[in-house]
Amino acid sequence: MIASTEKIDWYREAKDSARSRFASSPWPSATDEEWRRSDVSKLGLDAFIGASGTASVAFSADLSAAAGARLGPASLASLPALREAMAGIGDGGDRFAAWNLAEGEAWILELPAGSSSSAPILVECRLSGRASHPRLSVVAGEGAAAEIVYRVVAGDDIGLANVSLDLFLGADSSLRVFESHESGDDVLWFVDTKARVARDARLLHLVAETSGRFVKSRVDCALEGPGADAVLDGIFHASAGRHLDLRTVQRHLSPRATSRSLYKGALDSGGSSVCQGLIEVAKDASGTDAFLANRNLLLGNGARADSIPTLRIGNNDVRCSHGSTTGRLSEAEIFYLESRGFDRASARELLVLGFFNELFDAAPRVFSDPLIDRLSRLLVGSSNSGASREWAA
Amino acid sequence: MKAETAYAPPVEYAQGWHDIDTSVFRTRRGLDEDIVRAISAQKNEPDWMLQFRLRSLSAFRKKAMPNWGADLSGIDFENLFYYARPQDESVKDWEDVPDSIKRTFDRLGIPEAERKFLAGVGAQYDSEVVYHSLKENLSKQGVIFTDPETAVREHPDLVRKYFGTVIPYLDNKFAALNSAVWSGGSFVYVPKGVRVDIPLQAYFRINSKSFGQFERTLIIADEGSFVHYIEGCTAPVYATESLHSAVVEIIALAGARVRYTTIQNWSNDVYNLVTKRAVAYRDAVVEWVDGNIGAKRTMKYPSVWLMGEGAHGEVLSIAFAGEGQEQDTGAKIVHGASHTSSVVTSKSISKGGGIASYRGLVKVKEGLTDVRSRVVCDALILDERSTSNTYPTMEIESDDVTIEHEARVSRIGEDQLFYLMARGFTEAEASLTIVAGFLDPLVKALPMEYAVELNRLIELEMEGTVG
Repeated sequence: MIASTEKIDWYREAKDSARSRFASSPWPSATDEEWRRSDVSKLGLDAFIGASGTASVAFSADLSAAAGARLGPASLASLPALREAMAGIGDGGDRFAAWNLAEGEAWILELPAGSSSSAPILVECRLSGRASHPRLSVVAGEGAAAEIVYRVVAGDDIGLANVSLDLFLGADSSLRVFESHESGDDVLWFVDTKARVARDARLLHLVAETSGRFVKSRVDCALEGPGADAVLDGIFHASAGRHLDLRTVQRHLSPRATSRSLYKGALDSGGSSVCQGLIEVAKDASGTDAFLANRNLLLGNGARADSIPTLRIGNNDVRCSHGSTTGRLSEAEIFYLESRGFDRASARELLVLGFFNELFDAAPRVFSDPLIDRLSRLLVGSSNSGASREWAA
Repeated sequence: MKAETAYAPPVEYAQGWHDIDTSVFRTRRGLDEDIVRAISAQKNEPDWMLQFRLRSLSAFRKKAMPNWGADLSGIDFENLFYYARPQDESVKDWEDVPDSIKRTFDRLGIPEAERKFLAGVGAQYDSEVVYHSLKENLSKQGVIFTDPETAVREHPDLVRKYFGTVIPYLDNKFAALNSAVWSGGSFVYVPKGVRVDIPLQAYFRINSKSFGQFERTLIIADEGSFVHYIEGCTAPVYATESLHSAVVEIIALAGARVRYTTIQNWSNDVYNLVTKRAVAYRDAVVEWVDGNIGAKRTMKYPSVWLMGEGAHGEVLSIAFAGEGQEQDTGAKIVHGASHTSSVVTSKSISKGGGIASYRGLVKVKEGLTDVRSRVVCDALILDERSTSNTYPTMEIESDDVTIEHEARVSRIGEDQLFYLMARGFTEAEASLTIVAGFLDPLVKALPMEYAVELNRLIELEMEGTVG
């Protein structure tokens, strides 16, 4: 963990180059296909340039239980894998990615080869100030296995949170990452998650977006080694006046890799969401098996759900498909629950939580319990959340 | 152009020949106001149509090229002819059709018996309708089936009421271009309650080098009527690029049903950039059956705007992208009223490095109830050089909806091939059989003669696929 001056030079250089790239590039505009449905021009982003903010990272005691796992600031790190990845990030990505690298504090969680942890590693990142740009890089060595709960919690003074998460999975490693972004209703969230999955490694990434006024979240997963497997899941809820734009990319670069993405969301009247998923299969990625799905539940009229599941397939030895459905709660099911004594609000709440349940199932309780509570509050307001309390208990 | 003998096709393209160009009037290359005025003057148009063309021209100049979809960098607008007219009069009697044009249709394989059977053959040769026949009983029913120039002269009220209402000239760059220089096409009006039992057909050909064809079709189905319109396209092979940019507008009034069938088989140097849109009012049904086999680049997304309760829209689309081809096709459905439903079925095949893309939109406007839509896209990739893309978009703003979309991309299954080969098929026969089965839902929707033609075209395209 202790780096020589020579070792951290690259990091300083990456930050310098990101700083100049941030200064010279414009905000993404509506002519950029990925940003077309989420106009950032009216968000007053310029006001956040140079705004101060901090991120403090805490982790559970369980970290020490994961043999040899280490968490520390990137400025002291000397991991070659991180250097390689950061170098790429310095060149590519949009203005937000450059902003994060230039301004932000980066943390590294290193999981040594062969290590494994019996309990989930809890990483909590608390943001304060006007704008904060935290970055966490998880580097899993060959054969490492861990379950990580990563909560990014914005304090009341935060106006903008620009969050990056890097997941580097070495050969045959396994990461299960549960990520949530938590704040009041006024925060602007920009979330950039990048994953690189090596040979026979397995990734599960579940993100919950239930907070903030505007969320632009991107998960870009490259399956770089043969036999790699990725599951990208999302749970989202948009109440009135909130806009979520969720982008997933399943990038199949190597033969015989598999991936699956399932994003499920519930939208109140006046809430809006965009789900843009992409499966991209490179010319030589034969034997690819990929699936992409988006399920939207509209809880009121005037909710808006855009769904754009796309496929770009350059190899013929593949099985790729996607599905998208948008609908509302079944009146028959609500009626059934009402006939069993639930009031209408509780019945709806129970059905919406049931809709999400297959995704909660994969998560550890330490992640899913607070999330279910939060969803319950969102669904029926604080006055009536009886059904879920019992259900979650 | 002075071709003395019929052109010998360099490759296996079946319709790859052309006749000596006998056009009697043709504008110079390029596009400016004088050319638009010349086209309008040639057609003796009223001033309102000229003004419409001029407004469209200025819109065309302002509009940007699409920055998405197929690669259109090869189009040189200044190097195209925008109008050519083969002869002076539209003829009523087959005997009066010039021999060279008759030969064209013989080569395309429209048998004599079929011509008589078909209600009206609005055969488009270059950009003017030169042959027109309408069966007596249709005329008696009040059905109007003519070229749009005649409609402008003889039915100005109908034309002014509907022309450019479904696809305004400001819609997109190519619709603006068509609105400025349109020539030929079809005009169909079916009166209230009239069912046209036999399909109306127009056979289009492009026959001049570097010639852009801009036909304009307007179909109005009055309340409770039914019509099936068939557009078939085939064009000779040329070395330089040609541009085909049609506009097709359909208005299905309350309770009407319109089916529009296209089998597009342009030669592989044509840019086919077409805007097709229909409006369906209360309880109306509009069906697009759209096959795209030829052309170098196709961008075509037949659309249905469901604007009345009970309306139903359906698009059945196939695309075959071979070597050097990019088929960027799909469908757009806009649900603008409650109790509306739509179905989109898309099948695409890519081979030999071809690119087949499905691009679609399902939109449900706010405050509607009982809206259903289902979109299914299946793609076959026949070799490792080819590409298949799917870009569906769903914009849903009402909650009482059922919206489903699914897409699948795969190759021909080894097990299916093995099974058929175990039964004595060669690999080529087995592949063809599987492809034919894959396309079966579309083929079934076609009238028999088109189904036969489509099967023949697919057979041709599949030749040499299995090496």
